Amino acid sequence: MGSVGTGVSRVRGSRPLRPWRLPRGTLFALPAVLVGLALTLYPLLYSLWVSFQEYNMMTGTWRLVGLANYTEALHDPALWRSVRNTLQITTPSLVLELLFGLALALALDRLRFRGRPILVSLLVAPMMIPGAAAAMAFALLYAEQYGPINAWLSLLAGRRVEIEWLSSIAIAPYSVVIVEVWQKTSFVMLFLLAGLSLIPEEMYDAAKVDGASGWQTFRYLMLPLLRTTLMAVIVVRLIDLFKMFDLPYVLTGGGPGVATEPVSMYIVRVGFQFFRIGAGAAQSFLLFLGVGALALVLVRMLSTRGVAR
Amino acid sequence: MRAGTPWRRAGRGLVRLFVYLAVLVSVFPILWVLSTSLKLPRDYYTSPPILVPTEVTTSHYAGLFADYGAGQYYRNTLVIAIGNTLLVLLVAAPAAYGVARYRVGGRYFPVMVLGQRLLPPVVVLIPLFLLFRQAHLIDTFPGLILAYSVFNLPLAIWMLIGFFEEFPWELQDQAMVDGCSELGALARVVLPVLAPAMVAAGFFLFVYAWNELMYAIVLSRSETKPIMILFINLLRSPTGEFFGEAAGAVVLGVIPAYALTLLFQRYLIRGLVSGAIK
Repeated sequence: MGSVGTGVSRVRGSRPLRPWRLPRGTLFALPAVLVGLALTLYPLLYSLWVSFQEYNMMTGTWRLVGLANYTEALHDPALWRSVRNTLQITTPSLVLELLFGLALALALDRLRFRGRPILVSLLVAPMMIPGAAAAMAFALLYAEQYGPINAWLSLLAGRRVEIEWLSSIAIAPYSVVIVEVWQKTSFVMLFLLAGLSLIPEEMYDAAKVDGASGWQTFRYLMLPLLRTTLMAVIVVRLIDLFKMFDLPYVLTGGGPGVATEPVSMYIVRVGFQFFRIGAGAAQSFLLFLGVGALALVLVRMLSTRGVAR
Repeated sequence: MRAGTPWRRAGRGLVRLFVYLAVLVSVFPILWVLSTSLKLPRDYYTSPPILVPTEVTTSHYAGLFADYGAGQYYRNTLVIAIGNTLLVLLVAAPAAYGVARYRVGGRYFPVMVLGQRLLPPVVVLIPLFLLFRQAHLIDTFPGLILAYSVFNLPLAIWMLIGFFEEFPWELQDQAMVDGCSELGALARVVLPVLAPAMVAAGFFLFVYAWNELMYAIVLSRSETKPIMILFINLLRSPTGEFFGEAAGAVVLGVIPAYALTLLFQRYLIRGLVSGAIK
């Protein structure tokens, strides 16, 4: 996955200078290992134990319920609804981010732009602000009665337009998609720009000599060479989209109703609002399994394609 | 298909237009927020909407600090983000050194870091909440500083390994041949060269901690609320009465991270990509 020419190289063959140094190397890593154990591995094991229990808020006691939390989660329509919401937001987001990101990367790579660094830093501005802030900004733009978007649409249409960006069940998921795409397209663009910069200029010259059209150059030269980068960025974005939380939390609060509530948000609600900690823990492990399986399938696809080439 | 020159030129013009439009779309919401934060309420609802206020006011910012305790939120966020950055760097740097020089963890190390990346934050949040409640760490700065290490530590180690791998370690060996101890060579030869890279890594840790929302919602209460929480408190006003305050809060919440971004732009791509693979 790190093969996008970013300088993140894997461990080179740097042998220890003298054998007695080996334990010392471990010593250097010890603090990080301890923090990782205490703050991630131990909590995970603890959570696994909790996921087999039910917490009684009244008495503050735990009761072993075995796999009940898991079977209940698998039959919980609300959890599946949140999975559906996540997919409904993730799919168009990913497609649009890839399309726009690829188009921008190609344009910036192949055309000479004056002040390109400035253009790039303006393009990546959305990515650098927190998801919560992006959500706030768009909440102002989406405002139904007085917001600028509806005001402009009204002027264009010549009559009063009041699109319910955030309060219509049919529209709200796509309002989230718009913010998501606005924020993360430049991430895809940066990734692909890095990938494109690895294609040597001579290859384009060769294609030109062979009389390849622009489309042919893209289809048969750039796309194959970009495939690894594309797959990497798809994996990374997909994993991130599945963990989505901040954006809908601030923009819609998961509403209207639960129309834009992604899985992470539903689990937080189960755990900390209904205070069904055991159930929340079980569901969070199912989410972990889901994301892990997804990543595995994608990475497998990536590597078999690589072999087939 | 043969593309004639005029067609090609027109095509290029369209592509340029597309790029400039994308720039406009990227920047506009941010400019809109900035302008709204300086607008008087009478400029909120004009038709057509106006980007440049008829009269500039700083009253929303004054109100944020006087009535909403923005200063307190700011202080909290700074304490948490700086504390976390320092703690994580302190722990991650030796580990990255261990990996770069001694290959600690062998080939399992990247797998572990990747595993962390796949871990949805909510999976660790639930047990952390229970453990922190027992340890009385809820709504405390040490608690939040520790909690943010869950996602920042692997990110830091990953980024630092990237930097450390590129270091010409012969320099350290040379210094040791010349009589330095390993740590002495580290402090005198290695750290001065790697300091900018460490600062850049620290910047990413700071921004991640600054921007975090989920852990803040669950693990902070009245005493330690970071600025992202202020957003949520301000937003639930569909009538638009508090547009100015909401916009001002966004500007306040974005400024530190954004300023740092501009400062460290040359590390941007590398940091992001390692962040992505975190």
